Amino acid sequence: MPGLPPELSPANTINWLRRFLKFCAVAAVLAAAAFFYLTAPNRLPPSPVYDTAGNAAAGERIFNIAGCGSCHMAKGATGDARLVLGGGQEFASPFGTFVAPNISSDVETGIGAWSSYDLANALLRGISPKGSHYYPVLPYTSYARMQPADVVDLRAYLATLPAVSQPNASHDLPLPFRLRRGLGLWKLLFLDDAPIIPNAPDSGRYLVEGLGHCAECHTPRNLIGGLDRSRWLAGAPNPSGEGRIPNITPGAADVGNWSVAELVFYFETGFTPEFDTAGGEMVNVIASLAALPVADREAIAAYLKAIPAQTDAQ
Amino acid sequence: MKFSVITSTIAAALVAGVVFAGGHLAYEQRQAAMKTVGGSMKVIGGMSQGAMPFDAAALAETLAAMQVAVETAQGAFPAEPDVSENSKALAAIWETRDDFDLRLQTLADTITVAAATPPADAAALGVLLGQLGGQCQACHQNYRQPTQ
Repeated sequence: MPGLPPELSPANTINWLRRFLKFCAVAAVLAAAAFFYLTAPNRLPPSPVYDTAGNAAAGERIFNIAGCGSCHMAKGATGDARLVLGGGQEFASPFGTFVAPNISSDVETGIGAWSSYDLANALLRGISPKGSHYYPVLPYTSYARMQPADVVDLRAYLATLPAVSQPNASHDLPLPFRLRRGLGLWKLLFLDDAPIIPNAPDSGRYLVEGLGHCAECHTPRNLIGGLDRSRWLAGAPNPSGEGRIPNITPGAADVGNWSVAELVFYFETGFTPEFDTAGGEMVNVIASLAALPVADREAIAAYLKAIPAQTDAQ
Repeated sequence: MKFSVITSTIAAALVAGVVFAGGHLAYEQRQAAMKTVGGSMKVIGGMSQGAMPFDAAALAETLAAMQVAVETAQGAFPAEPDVSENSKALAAIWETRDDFDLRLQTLADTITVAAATPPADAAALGVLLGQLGGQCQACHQNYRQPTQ
């Protein structure tokens, strides 16, 4: 082609394009490989503890602290119906609507066939027995701190609860969030078992940061749904509707002034020091906390008094 | 004696609260009524838990005031949805109105019986406190916004 400089001749241009496309192809393969490597399910190391027989009575306490029933029972269940864990409750979120699965001991539609190791991977790593990622609506970012022996006891207790044959609807999520594999990246950012407030008393820390997963509602989240640890338990928008979930740090205008005895009384009865009562999701939490040994309620209160004060959101 | 005067004064103030502080709008009436219920619960809780001496006369006045307040509240949820930023009442009240009315009626029945035959000592009052606590929570669970 006359008039063009020799380096832009058709032969050179085609040659350059060919090299560029080859580079893109290699980069795409490397990116895909990196994505699959980084998002692969990261199971727990095997341990003989998962093969031991759990203590169902001890597991009942774990069940109550972890509040499994609140989400997996039928909505509004009371009394013995709180132990019928067929799932089906819906949870609206900015990412779509999640449906609680059946965790009853039914083999077909529940988790009756699961081993303790399966349950531990679900709770501590958010991984199903088949190796896919669970959405963090299951609060595994908190349960990650669970002791394996407690999972084994919980497994034993769940096995004593009634089997419910009940298939449930799938989650209703828009496209990008429907692809579970990407959750592997989310987990790299937000899933770890490090203590949040290392100076707080151990027993209360285990109950609040781990099993009780209090932060899942009481701590604000960033745009992609990770907890803002710099505002630990400082209160957040209500994930299930109107209003706000309160600040429960010593800096809270209301709860910050409650004594340890008043906190313990609230956990047992649902009554605030002013004899107002718990509402919303906290009603189920109170029902679970009330079933615990008093030492656990005292440990939770002691932890809440030991954490950094945060001011209420403006 | 001194405590008796104080608690009687509280109870009288609670009754007056229902009558005078109601305001015109439905949500103002509900809020005033619920404030009276809350103040009554504080007396019931205080006397049953030992923070306040048990005083049968003051308790009777408190329970009577609470009965009036609950009946006022029953009449202050209009038939049409009344949801606004001034009120913590959730739209769910009007979506499942029968359930809401039933729960409020359950509370009204409890307090009517208690006002007619007030608990005779702190232990019996504690049983009433537990009963009321469950009924308050059952309603607040689905029908009231959480509060900061």
